[in-house]
Amino acid sequence: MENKKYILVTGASSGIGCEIAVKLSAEHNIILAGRNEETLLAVKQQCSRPAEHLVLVVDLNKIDAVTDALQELIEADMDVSGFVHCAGYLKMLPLKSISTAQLLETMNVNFNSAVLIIKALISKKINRGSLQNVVFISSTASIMGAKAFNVYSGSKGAVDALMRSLAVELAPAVRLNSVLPGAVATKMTEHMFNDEAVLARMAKDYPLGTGEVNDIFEMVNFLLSDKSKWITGQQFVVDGGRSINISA
Amino acid sequence: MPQTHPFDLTGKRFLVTGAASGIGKATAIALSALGAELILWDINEAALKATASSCMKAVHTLAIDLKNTPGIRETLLNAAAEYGPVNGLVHAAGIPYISPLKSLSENKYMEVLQINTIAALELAKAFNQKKVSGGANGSIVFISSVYALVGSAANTAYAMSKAALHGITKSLAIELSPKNIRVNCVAPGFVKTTMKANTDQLFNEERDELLESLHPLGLGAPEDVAYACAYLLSDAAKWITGSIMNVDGGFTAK
Repeated sequence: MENKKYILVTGASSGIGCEIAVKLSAEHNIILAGRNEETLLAVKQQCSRPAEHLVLVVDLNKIDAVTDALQELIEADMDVSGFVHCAGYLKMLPLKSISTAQLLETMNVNFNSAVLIIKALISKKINRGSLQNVVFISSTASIMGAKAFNVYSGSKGAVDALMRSLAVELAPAVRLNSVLPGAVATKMTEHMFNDEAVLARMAKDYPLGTGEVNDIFEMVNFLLSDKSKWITGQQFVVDGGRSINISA
Repeated sequence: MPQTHPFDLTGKRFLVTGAASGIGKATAIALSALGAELILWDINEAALKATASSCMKAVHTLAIDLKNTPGIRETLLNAAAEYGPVNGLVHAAGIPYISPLKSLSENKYMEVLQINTIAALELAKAFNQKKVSGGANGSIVFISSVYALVGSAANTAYAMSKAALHGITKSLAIELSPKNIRVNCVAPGFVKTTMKANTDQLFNEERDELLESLHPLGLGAPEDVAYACAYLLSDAAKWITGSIMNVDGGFTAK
């Protein structure tokens, strides 16, 4: 019998990761990864066919535990064929206020964990080398400057550079791409969307207005499908035209 | 489980240029399979009819020479009057031109510019008329090339014509955003098409191996590019404008 296939979604407790996981569950078996078991179990109940999905409790900032957590979860009759990295840590601070702990947490959650997860998923021992498709939720902060985004931008730039290198290194077995969303309303960005001044600026800066998580999901879904089988190593901006708007 | 296709195009009408062969043909067939009604243009009437016969929905074909710049606007206006407003377009018509700088011919590179670039601008201008687009909402997709992004000897005129599309895409995306007309570009790597076959006679097997090796996923099929166009035309891409989508088997990742 063929192994049961799964897509691992990090950051599945809330925001983009939660909505993507729930929507993908219509056609895929999902491993919902996040820190809080109770929240993940609630997301699992929102999924189609709740019994088919798994929960992985893991703190991506505790970087030394990530590989073991995957090894423990993945059974011999499972293939984790897809990985969508939605977990993201954003702390907007001017450079002078950045602490070492925040720098390391940003890099661990946004970047380092992705390296180790892919390393585990291409491993014959852990996952029978069955990984085929990776989508990173990066950010337009990867390609444009903004005040107080310093370390977050760096982590997303690192993710995109990793994506390109691994696309070459792991071809043709694994396709890797990044989706670069502009600002969509989630828990991570609620401080921005609750701020009248920021909202007014976004209305001016985003030629098509601000977006919805579903706009991001559609691109992720396209990249996970066979319809994009010749696409790898690319950044896909989904931002309502924000990053090309020079008057912003 | 039954569910609607994410890029369902039922009830929409699109223009595809260059629809007689290659990427244009594959795009027409893909859009038709997703439920769209089509207006198909190409200079090659016989081959255009063959594309139309592979489509499932209502298809209106017209033989047109895109070098006739003033004719583009009028022809699209007439088509919209006859068949109804158009929801978007894919400009897939394009010609290659491989020549070292010293032998570049002005006549020839102007022809490349006219078909690959000026026609794109004229199509956008035509689409921007209320009588064509129905007033607001729409999606324009231009087909450029990885050669707009990387360097290659003897490819100057083609690269110029395709790089210009990227500039047009971004400027028009901003300008037309108040009407919610989206403008995007798909930049393909080497796809097995007749355009490639036409340039093959200039080269040899070694070149084919080299081309293949430049793409981590190997050479593509026209359908691979067609799906990206379908995605950008659909409501699934309603928050995407001014973007360049590289569909190239990893060519530009290396």
